[in-house]
Amino acid sequence: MTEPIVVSGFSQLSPLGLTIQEMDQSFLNNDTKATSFKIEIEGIDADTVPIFQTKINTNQVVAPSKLPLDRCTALALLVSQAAFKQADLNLSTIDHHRLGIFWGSGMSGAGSLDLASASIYRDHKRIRPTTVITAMPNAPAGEIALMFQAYGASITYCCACASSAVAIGEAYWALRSGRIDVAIVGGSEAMLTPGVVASWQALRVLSKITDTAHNACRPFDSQRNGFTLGEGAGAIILETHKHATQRGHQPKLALSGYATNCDGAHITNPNVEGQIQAMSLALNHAKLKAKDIGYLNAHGTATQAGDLCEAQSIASVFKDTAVAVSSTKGLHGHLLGAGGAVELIVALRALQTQLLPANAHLRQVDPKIHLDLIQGQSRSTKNLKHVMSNSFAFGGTNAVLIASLID
Amino acid sequence: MPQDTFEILRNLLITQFKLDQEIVKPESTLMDLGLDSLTLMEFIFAAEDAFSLRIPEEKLNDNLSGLTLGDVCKAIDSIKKQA
Repeated sequence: MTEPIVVSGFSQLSPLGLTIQEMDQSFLNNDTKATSFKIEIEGIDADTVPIFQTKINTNQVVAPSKLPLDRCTALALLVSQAAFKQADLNLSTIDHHRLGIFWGSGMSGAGSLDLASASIYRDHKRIRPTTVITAMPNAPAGEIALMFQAYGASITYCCACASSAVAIGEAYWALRSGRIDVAIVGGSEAMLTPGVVASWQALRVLSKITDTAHNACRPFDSQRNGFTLGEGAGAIILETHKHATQRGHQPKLALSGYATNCDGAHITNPNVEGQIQAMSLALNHAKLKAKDIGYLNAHGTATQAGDLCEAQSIASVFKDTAVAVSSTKGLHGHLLGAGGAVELIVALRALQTQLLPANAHLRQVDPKIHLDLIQGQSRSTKNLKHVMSNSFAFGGTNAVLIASLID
Repeated sequence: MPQDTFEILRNLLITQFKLDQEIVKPESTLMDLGLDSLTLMEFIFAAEDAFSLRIPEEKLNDNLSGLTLGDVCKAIDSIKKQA
């Protein structure tokens, strides 16, 4: 039997909270606080959209490079440190040549670039000398690699909303191939600046505030009207089983399945066939049947087209197996490139606690959707052994991760 | 060397570049402060903004990292006098 790739630690910083315990509490309360973001840019009509912020000041985070940091990179550094600590790894004894960084971000330093553009074009001020270094997409991975002296790999995956899910899955294969023993994987996103938010608003995919800002995002609801942008980060420590056990760690969780494919059909529209294939490939990889999955964290962005497509895909793969499904984006928003990592952490936490988070703000299920959607409060379960997390991206990239309890 | 010039640079290095205040002295070279080619650029840029002036390259010799903070203060003060 192939030895598993184990999860030896994880951490998240998101609108759900700054610790795993705060995240648990957010799911118990089934509520988080979104805020109203007024887009005020001279020359364009002002508009207000809800956003989910991570309540942490990153101004004092010191970059290993000593250069100014984009918030996306600052969150990446903080969350990686927390996950590494939780895994109880020793930086002084680890083989740094066999430690790799696999990170995902959809827009990475877009916020810094947006503010730099404002500095030039609006304020007519010169631009900072290291703006490129701050804004480059692989800045988070690069700074994390500096922090941990990771000589094995520093790779950034940029595939929109599937970025960190792909990063996690590709790290699996790097570990499986024997190239490295330990990987710091995950993703971060923090681009809530006026120009970037305005760009998303222009695409007409953001939820409108119809009631209060905090419940604007309603995945699978008949009244859903788009997603709410969020910011956050998630980091997971993946490790070969052999490495974990040799250092005395007793792993209880494993990354057991991964698949990525591409719709190749439309630059933004989701595709039922592509999603079915991605979930089926991941199940095959994990050597599991659909009935083995006890909880599915859906991509569920709360767009009309996206939720309906995913509901059809899930129904097709799981057929009569009523897998419990929730999209947790109603509570943390769409974390874009960080979404895959944070949502896998939500699913990992479900394995640990045997509590399945609900679809927040789901009042009336879309009559065209036929899934076992968790409504109201978190659902208590028993014998949950395998969970799935979906990430479906603009550009056609689909990524599906499966995690399992180790017997 | 007017003390306020040094104090402004000192404050900049401690708050923006997160340097330990113990090592930020007039006699410290920029190399002593751990500033590499990129962080040096950022520091000079930030110093220019702080004093609303531009430091001509000839005021800073080729061995930029060998300059002391006191040297940078003198360069800034001489430009302020000319203004």
